Amino acid sequence: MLHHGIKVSKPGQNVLVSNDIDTVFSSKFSTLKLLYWGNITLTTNGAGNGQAVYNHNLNYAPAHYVFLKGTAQFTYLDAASYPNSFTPVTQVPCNWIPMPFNAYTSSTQLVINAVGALPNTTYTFRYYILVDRAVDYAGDAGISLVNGYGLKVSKAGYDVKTAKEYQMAYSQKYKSLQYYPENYKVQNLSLPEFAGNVFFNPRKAGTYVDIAHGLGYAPFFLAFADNFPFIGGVEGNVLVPTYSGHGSVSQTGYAAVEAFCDATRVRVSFYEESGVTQTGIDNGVYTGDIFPAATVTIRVIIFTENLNP
Amino acid sequence: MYQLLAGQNPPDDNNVWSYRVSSGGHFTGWFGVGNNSTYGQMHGAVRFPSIPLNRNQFVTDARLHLFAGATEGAGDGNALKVRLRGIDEDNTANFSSDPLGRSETDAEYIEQKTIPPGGGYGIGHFDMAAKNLVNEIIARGGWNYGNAMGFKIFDNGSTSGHHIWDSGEKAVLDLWLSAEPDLTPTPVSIAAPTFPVLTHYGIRVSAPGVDVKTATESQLFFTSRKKELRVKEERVILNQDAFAHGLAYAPCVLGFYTDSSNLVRIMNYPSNRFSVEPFIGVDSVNVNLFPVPNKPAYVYVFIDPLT
Repeated sequence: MLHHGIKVSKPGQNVLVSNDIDTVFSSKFSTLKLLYWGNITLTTNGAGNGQAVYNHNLNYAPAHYVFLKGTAQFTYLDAASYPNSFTPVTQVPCNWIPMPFNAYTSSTQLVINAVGALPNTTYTFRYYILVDRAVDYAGDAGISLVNGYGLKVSKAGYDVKTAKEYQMAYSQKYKSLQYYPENYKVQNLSLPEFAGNVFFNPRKAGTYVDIAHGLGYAPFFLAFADNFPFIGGVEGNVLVPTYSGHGSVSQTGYAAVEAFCDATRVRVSFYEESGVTQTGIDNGVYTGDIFPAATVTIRVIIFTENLNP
Repeated sequence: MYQLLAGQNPPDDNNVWSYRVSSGGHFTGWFGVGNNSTYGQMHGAVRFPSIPLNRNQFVTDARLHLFAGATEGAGDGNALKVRLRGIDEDNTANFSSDPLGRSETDAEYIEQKTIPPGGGYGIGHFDMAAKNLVNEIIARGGWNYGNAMGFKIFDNGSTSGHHIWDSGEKAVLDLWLSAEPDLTPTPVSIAAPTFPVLTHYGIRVSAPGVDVKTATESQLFFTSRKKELRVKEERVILNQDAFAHGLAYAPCVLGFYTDSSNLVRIMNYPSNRFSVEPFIGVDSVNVNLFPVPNKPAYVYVFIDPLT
């Protein structure tokens, strides 16, 4: 094994013998590099539609992450509401903060769309655009190679003097997305076997975990759900939020693992719903999908990046 | 399951019966009970073709639900007087023949009900206790899982102009095997961690324009006091593909996919997702994309473990 480059081991560990997994930094591996970040708003029209655009002009679609700011409340699980909360913007519905939004990048823009949101309402988002690619691209990047001072590490096989910015493993030009190891948390959430029917339509089940992060502000987080009950089985370590519809013409229902954060906590919930449609009842189907007893393992990485500075 | 429902699926005219006392006539395929202002006193019967109970399984509660398509005297309290008995048979035959003369359970249920409005499911509905009747039937020596069970519902002295009437094909037998479990388990709280004390060794990089010696934590671009996700590999993935990540644990993964409009989105929707799990005996990252996009997905596998 070659030992060139930079390695920083965990406190108390000998860097000369530490495994890769036990390092806090190693020039052997590239890291995620935050390029642009900030708040962006959109105001919907009378139909609840709108758009916010950020021009990154990178010439390629970059990795990105967007959070919606809002008041989190899901009364079935918690009567309280949580203002100044943040939840990831994806194509997945959300019970905590309504999510009629989606986001994408193109080779020049980050775009956030509102479709059927509240009319004539201004929404706030926290966006992150990374140097790192979200597509296979090998051309020139739309960011110049200025600021040649400082620490740079190119990816293996690339000359650090001429490498394109996305070919850098690390560059102090860009902000790192970091976390304290103490804020990596794991928790099981369990729900019993149940099903909705014509008398309990739909029937609901849910629970959640509150992870106090101790940071004093709403933090960037990633959450993963292991053994998530998709149709026909379970899946491992899917990114939260995740949603699985169990419906049909006769039956309705879904399973969801969702999350939001505020200045105190990252909350991750596990929720299921089972019901039966009128078409089903008219055709003698009185029971919804049976959800077997399930335990989802939640794994959360809470970064020190402030979503609400 | 703690609660089971038995219906008449598929609906069958031979699962319901209605008998007019005054004329001795009956209706196949229709159910009625009460005292019809035209036809007089009526008795009825319903049958459930397949009951999901084992012999002696014992139900903690059972209710026979009838959905009335039409009624007479809707809203009149205690006006529908009924007497319920089970048909005491191992496997109740259909109602191609008169069921009202068949042997009955010892258990009986008598009640006075408010006449519901007509309109079927969701509108016209009433229910009767049937626990003892059900338990008596499934205790029979010849009872087997999936056998048919029937009930007689007699008018028990309703006044004229008070009845319910329906095809009866949406009758439901509601069976409880145990109490409903806790569907909202107590939420869990994890206390805030204790972070390592501030130290002045290691590597620190401040934001442009900020003195690294005095920078606050929020003004740092990098510090060796913290960890970050380290990329093991970046991979281009075709639809419905899986690859071995080569690690002895499930790693953290992020992915992006290009949709049919060439727009790049983060992967986490059920139709465009990744998962990290054993796959055909190999620890792998599995990518599922639907509908099939124009372009492949782009996946980051980190050395940082999830498990």
